[in-house]
Amino acid sequence: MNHPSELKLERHLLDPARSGIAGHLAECERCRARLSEMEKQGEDFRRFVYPATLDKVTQPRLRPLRALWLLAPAAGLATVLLVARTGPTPDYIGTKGGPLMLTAFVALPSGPKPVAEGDRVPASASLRFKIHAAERCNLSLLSVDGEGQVSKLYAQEVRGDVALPGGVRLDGKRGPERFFAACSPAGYASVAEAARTLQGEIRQKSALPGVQGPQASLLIEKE
Amino acid sequence: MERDHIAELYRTWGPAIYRRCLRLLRDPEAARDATQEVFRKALGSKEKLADPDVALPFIYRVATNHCLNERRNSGRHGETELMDLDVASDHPNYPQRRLVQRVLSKFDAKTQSIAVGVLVDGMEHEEVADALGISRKTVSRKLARFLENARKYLERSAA
Repeated sequence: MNHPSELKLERHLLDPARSGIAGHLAECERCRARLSEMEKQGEDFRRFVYPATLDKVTQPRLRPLRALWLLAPAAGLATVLLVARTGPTPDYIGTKGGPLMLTAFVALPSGPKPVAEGDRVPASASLRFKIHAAERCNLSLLSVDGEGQVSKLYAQEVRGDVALPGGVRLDGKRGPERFFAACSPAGYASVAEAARTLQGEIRQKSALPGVQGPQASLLIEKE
Repeated sequence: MERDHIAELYRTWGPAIYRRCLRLLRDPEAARDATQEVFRKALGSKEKLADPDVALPFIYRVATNHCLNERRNSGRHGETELMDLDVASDHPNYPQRRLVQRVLSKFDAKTQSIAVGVLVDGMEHEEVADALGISRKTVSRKLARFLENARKYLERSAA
């Protein structure tokens, strides 16, 4: 027996009258069971996931910026190109983390500027990141703000000097924000879990507790 | 876009995204995180969320790509296996579906999406083509190559 696909079952949940699979469902116990399971999962979403995540999906946050960089005014665009093509000067040290180095650049009207620990940057500024990993690294890069909110920025494998693609825009809120980079074999989920334990105490804590592998971090003050 | 409008879109499409992520990631916590990410990505094309006929294949595509990518990232480091996709033993393509479980991670992202769509989700080629925004011919070609190479891979593994 050919059963309706997942997508067809989704269509049925959305609009049973138009799905065209009511006849099949009437005769197929397996599909009815799957549909029932899907309904329960939808209910779980409404009861648990929706209320827990609504604020996060509706509020502005750090997000990929490729398009906005292109929309920047002429001066800003020149800045972007400069960042993308040249990166840091050879004598720039960046934020050290042993075998892992994290460097951030903020795009200012005066040009791209490397960011040092504790630097003040405009609250809606755009940032780009560069990583140096001495060895192959399962990189997780995230940010934690003063309220403890964790935002995922990158999770990818890197080695050597890597300019991370795109960029991020800060959320426009004043206050501290710390970026954590970690080469953790356990992956992003465990790094994010460690970041959540900081509960916003990011001015004092520059390392993620319990994360195996090299780390680096950088604090900024959004103003 | 106003918060209320986004909240309404999330209420409408969140369940389908969550189900898709749960099916591919097999972990409620990971599915919850992925649901947020997928919805945020989908909001980038909010006009597509206004039309149910367009929105469902669209979020299926975004969620599938995102979750398979998550699995690749974690599987590469041994955190999770790619072999726990849910397959039904009474499906006519059961042997091919088992093949998907065993060798999916060896293939590129697009091929993975196609193989999962056809062999795990039970979609027609045309349905997969619509959902992934590619031609039906591409679906057939990549699927045939997947099956051929997957068998070769298993034969080499068994030798």
